[in-house]
Amino acid sequence: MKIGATKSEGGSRRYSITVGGANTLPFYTFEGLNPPPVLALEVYDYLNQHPTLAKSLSDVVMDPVEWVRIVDKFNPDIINLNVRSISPLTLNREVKNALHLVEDVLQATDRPIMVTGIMDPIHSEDLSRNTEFLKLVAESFKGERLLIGPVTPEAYETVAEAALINNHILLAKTNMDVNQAIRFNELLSSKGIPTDRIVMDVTTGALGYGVEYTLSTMERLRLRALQGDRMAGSPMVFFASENVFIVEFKEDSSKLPLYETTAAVAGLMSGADMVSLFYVESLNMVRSFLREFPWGGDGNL
Amino acid sequence: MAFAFKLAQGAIEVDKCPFLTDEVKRTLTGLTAPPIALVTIGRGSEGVKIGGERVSFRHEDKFYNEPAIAVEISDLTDVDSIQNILKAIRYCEIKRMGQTLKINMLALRNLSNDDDAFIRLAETVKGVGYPLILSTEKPTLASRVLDILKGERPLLHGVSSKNITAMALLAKRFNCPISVKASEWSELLSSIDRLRGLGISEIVIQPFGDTLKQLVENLTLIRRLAIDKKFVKLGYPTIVFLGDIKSNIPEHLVISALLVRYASIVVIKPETLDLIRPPLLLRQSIMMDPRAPISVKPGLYVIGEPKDDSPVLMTTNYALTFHILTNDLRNQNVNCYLLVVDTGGLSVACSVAGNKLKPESIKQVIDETNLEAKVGHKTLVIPGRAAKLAGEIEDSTGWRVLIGPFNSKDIADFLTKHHSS
Repeated sequence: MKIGATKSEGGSRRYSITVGGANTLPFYTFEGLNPPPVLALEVYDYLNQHPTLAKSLSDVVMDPVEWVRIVDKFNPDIINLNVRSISPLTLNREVKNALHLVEDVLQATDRPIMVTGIMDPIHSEDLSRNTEFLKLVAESFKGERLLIGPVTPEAYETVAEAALINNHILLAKTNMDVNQAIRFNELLSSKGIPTDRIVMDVTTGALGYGVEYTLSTMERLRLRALQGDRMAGSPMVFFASENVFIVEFKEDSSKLPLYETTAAVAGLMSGADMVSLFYVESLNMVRSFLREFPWGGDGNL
Repeated sequence: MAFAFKLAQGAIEVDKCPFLTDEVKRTLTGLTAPPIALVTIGRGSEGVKIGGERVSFRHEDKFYNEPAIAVEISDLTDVDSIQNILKAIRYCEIKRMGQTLKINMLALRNLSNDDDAFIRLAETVKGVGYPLILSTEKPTLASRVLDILKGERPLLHGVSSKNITAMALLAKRFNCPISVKASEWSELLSSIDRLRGLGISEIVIQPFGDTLKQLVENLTLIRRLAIDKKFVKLGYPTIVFLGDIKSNIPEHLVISALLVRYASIVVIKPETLDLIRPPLLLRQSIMMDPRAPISVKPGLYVIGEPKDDSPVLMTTNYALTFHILTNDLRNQNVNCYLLVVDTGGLSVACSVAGNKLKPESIKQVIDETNLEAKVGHKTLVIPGRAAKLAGEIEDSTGWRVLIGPFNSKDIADFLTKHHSS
């Protein structure tokens, strides 16, 4: 699938990025060559002032557009905009207000964009805020082919429909369970969303905090997909950034990219087609890892 | 019948049955042995087991023996530096979730032309408490060192078709495991054949390749052929020396890839110890048994210095849940009592969904630990994910239930706002 639409396709992105397309198990290069995985750098519009935040970013954290301009320079394939401010537990920002931010970000960069609402819904209103926000994003930026989410089995219909009509890709999030992930794809399929308009997220858990559940779920999904189960055949995203928020790892903020990238490599070897990263340093390290291997598809790293 | 089932699953050893003849035992052992042979380096309780694997993907069963991480020390290293390396190795140990994550072995490399230097190195680290890998291509030197390391069963490394006969005889004489390398497949297979022909069963394969891509390919092929195609000649654990890999990528990423992709021993240089913590955590994670999550003892735990008006919290006995919650409580300076309930090691979400979180068990812990005498209130804070059991828990315990946050990172805030002290 492609994320991001260029001018000729009705969008304003400089390029589209191809995600997925694997036809063999990850890093089984003796069997075949998969297209290279895609790397995203994250930008947040709200973060608790965090002692572990890299100094280079702590000044810009409260200005997400500036943050976008910085990470853009480091050449990620996709920029992942986390609009957490819409949760009553953070800034309780009005959805219309948050929409301006998305507009500004689309102006600040011409790369393909992932827009996420609240990835970890806790407050009872989080799910409805997500729905309201993502629907508005889908409608307002029709044609840009954004990756939007999360949608979950508890809350998906409105956003799924909006994504379908306005030609976006859905980030479908389930809880580290193979069958739940497949059932959700079936549910979405029954609403008219084909599996090539879905990116699956089964991440929950950092190193030492349950990452093994995610790794095994991804391996199982990829095995089933390659054996012909179409409902397991959507590309998968792995959020390595989970690792940078773990207090146990906060020894020294310069080491957090090590945790993030160790997890990223494990995620890639389990079949991740896309990895989302927090640190710019992590992007460079993961790229150097990927360059050790041959790739198919367009082949460009 | 029960014994036969256990035997078929590899859950019991054939020797445990007193009624079988030796011949039948041999046949059965062959049939139920894991496709990747078990190799023990060192001896006794300090020995490191590698291999013994039955599957290529952990969800198919589990990984049985964690990949070992070894630090290489060459015989060009001076005595002070050796001590510093040993200190650095110990400093990397992490105790978490009831386990100790650490470096498992030392690899002694004969890089100098000075035989005595290699012998001095062996003497310095002998008895330091780490099983050893002896890396030299000279059989006579190996023999001298093996004499010094009497009975310690180090892994003999540096074996190739050039010296295999002499090294194999040493392996047999000293009863050590032996690792073998080659520059391509047919040489490797014929070397393994030689060793097997000499009756050696504890073999470790060093896959050829000086790029990460080649090594990942070869490690994958060895494991998949051994497990799926029952290719007995490749049914052995593997060893990789990071120093042999020509690449410009950070070592912790190489280690990460090797740990998840079938390396049984990863040998790192001492400098890499700086980067070893994330891989240690990754290793702990992938070694978790998918079917038997680690659990902690149920009961009453004291966090900080609770008084009789301090909160009483409840959670399940899944080790990870316990670890996360107690860390958050301590980091946020919460003083409280924590009731840990037996759910067979399932997390809160799983045990609620699977009906394994029983309100009666909560009452039981309250009664058995005499909690009502310790606190002056009867308010129990339960995890957000157990909300639907609130009513039942109140009925069963007679306590008032407060539904806490979903995520323990919000616990201190929650208690300040909602739990009047």
